[in-house]
Amino acid sequence: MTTEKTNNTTSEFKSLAPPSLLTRVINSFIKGKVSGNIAFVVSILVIFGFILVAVAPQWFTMHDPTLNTLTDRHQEPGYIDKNGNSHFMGTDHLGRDVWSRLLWGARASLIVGGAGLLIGGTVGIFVGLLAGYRGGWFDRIAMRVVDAYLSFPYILIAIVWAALIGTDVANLIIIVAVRGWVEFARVTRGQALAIREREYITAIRALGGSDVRIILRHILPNTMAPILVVAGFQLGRLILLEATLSFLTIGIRPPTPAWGSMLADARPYLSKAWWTVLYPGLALSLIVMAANFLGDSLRDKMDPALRGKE
Amino acid sequence: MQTPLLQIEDLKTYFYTSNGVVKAVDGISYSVHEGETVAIVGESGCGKSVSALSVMRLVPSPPGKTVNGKVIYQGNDILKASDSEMRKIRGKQIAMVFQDPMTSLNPVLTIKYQLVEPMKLHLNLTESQCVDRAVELLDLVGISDGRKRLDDYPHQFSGGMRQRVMIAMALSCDPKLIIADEPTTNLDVTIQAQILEVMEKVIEETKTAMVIITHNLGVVARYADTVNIMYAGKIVESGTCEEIFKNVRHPYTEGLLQSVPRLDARAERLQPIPGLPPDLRNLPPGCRFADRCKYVHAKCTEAMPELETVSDSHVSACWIKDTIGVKS
Amino acid sequence: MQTFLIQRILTAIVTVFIVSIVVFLFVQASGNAAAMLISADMERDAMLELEEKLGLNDPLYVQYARFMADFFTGGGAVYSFKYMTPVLPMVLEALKWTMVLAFGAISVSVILAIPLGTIAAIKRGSFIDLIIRLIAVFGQSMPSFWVAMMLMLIVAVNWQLLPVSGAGIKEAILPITALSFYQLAVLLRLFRAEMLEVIHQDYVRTARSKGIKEFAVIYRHCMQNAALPVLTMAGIQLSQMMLGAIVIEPIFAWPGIGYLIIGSVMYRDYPVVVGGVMIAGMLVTTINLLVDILYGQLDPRIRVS
Repeated sequence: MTTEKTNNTTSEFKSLAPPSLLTRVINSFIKGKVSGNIAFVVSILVIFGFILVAVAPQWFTMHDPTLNTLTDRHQEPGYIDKNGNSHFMGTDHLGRDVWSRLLWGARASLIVGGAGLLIGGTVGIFVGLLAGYRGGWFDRIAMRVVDAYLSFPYILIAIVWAALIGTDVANLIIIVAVRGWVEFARVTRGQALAIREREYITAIRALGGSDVRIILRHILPNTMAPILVVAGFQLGRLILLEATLSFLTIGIRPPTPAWGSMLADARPYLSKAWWTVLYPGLALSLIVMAANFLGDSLRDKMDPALRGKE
Repeated sequence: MQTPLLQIEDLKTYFYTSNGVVKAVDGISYSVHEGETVAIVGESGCGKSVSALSVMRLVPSPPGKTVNGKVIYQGNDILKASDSEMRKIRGKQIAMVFQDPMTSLNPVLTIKYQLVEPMKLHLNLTESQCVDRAVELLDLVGISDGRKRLDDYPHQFSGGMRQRVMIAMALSCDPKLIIADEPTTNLDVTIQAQILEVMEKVIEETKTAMVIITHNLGVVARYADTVNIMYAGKIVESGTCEEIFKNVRHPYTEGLLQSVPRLDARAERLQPIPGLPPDLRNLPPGCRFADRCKYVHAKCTEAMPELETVSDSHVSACWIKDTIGVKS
Repeated sequence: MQTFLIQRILTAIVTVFIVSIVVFLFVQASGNAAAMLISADMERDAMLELEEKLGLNDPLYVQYARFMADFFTGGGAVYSFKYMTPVLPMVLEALKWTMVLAFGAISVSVILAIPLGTIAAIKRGSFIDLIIRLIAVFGQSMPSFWVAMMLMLIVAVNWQLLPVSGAGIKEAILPITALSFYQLAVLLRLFRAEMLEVIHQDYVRTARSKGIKEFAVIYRHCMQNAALPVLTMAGIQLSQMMLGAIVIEPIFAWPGIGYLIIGSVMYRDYPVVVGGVMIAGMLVTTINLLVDILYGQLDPRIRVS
């Protein structure tokens, strides 16, 4: 069989396949009512907002987040400094503007969290596809590892790792990615296992379709929807992981702003400067909530029977 | 005629959904006398189960609601009863046997608990008296080794046995009326026969009245005294068993009787009733069976026929009821 | 059931083993292996000599074996820098305090989640349901260390109701509250969802048809069925509570394993860090294992088969 002929017949057979889960999810969004979609829309907007802020914080503030102005320490929100600029969230223990630190801190969270998510996700999907589709020893080992991960507290390892090896951004991203791949692998494997049993896969194989083709063209698209659900939740989880490490002072190093370390800095002055405690935490809560809502709304759309008990 | 045990007048139960109002039960009336077996027959979705739930006031309450009618039990309209009064009736006066024995028993409680629970509530017996009675009931429904099996859980019984347990449960407080909602539909055919025999024996011994809801005409012919045929939320024909089978006066009932395959006649093709039941949210103005009826004419689509007398034990809601007939 | 049990135990043992190796390797990689055993202000020659003497040039697996042996017999080289006492007893002592918080938090969250979840399910769609669901959503998104700080700020500093730090009954209230927040949110959502599903089951309808009082229907027929997954989750989360404590304890100066580990990280007291992590990890894995076994006992369907 020539390659061309294989291509043609395979794509004819593609029409045998039911529309992928992702397509169905997208359709259900388009046809769905506003009230159902609102969580999704709002969470996407919030996340985009954060990304925008992380990319270009200077558009939203004029203050330098690392400028120490010791004469302006711990000023309450609304303070106007000697240059006539207002600090609408007040200043921290070194006189730095809280609002701008918050904006620049988004960068840290999103870089470490986001990169960790992407790397971990890629690895996890890869492992999951291989394990689910091929099975055999790879699958057995992979699943043991996943089980072990889930019964062991990763935070402990992360603490030891960060404390002993170092807190540069690259290392932090790795620590986060190593946490993040597990759920992706599990979900992808489950989907791969289910899909490979379907008849159209056998049909394609009978036509000479290679494993790689099957995985990329047929299995992967059908796993996209659950993967996106997992991605939503993982984003929140990984950002929280980074923030926890920063809070324990083994994450992002000062003076680089990061929400976790802002909270750590605020600890000794808790009773004096409530604004240094409230705002970084709110920012963290907001992004985690948006990530969770994203995952939730995607999951609700995916299969009401699976989960939708609201 | 003696006063009926249960009299239902113009009962209407609607479901308010986001897609419209579903008129599941749209004005039915029938009565049940002591010791009588009344059958309610119809296809899926005609409202027969909902009518039974309405009597017991177990209709899931959003989105369902009984909007009209009277259910008169022993002289009192129980639709107007308070919650606590209703609870005294349920289980003690009127008991129900549900369709699916697999899901109708609580999986994490022993059947001893589930049998004894209503007895402790309604009867004035000690715990051990209740347990003894439970063993007797299990024996009555044909479960041997009752005392040992009391400590078992529902999943340790087969479907047929579970249904027997349900029947035992319904009988446990000596109700005057049992409503059985398709009690054998979910069981294997061979088990169906057994369960029906159990029910027949039980009714003979206890003289309980029964409302049996089914779509199986064989069951009806064998066990029912009175038959009510339901279609699209209304009763379209009602009468004694003999009248209905031998002197059918409604096209729908005729269709039902003709669609049952027979062993004694030479079978050529099965004769189903063409078409589908109407959408209960969007009911047509005239007779609801008009679009599937082979005798349909102009009047049928304009005006809704009411139940009118055919004989003193037979009514039918059809404009041409006097001219239909089928050979038995 | 037997094989399943054995498999689980093996997996748990292997996991702990691997983690201890991983941790040990981290220490080696950080170039601080010597620092594990040698005081910080030794002179270079003396240090090299000691290295040789203490077998730091031995192959890794030998060092590892020695390390593990020392650690568990509470002797030899695994001493805290700061306190110059064996690590193991320190860790065990701290664990007790942490377990107080963990059990306290689990209890609080279960005790609150069940009634609140029930109310939310029964009154589905109402205002109170909305409030409860909002609590659950916020609770799951707020970082526990922030909740801890806010609680401290509001209750201890502003209202002056409770002490800020230390170890005692009054001092335990804030940390337990902070710790249970996330847990409460998770259990609330779960219980509400379970109740909603159970309430619509046929067997609940059967119970009502027997004339059972509504309270008994909810309690006996609904809650018991819905509670099972929730209790399992609570059990699983017991170990998560321990981990949450790690972050919260330093904030309240509660002398548990978190306080110990984090403090030791600050002081670069590596033996304590490593020892603490290993013991905590072992405990967590053991708890998870026990919960798995327990689950098999609770559900009669699993038990009988």
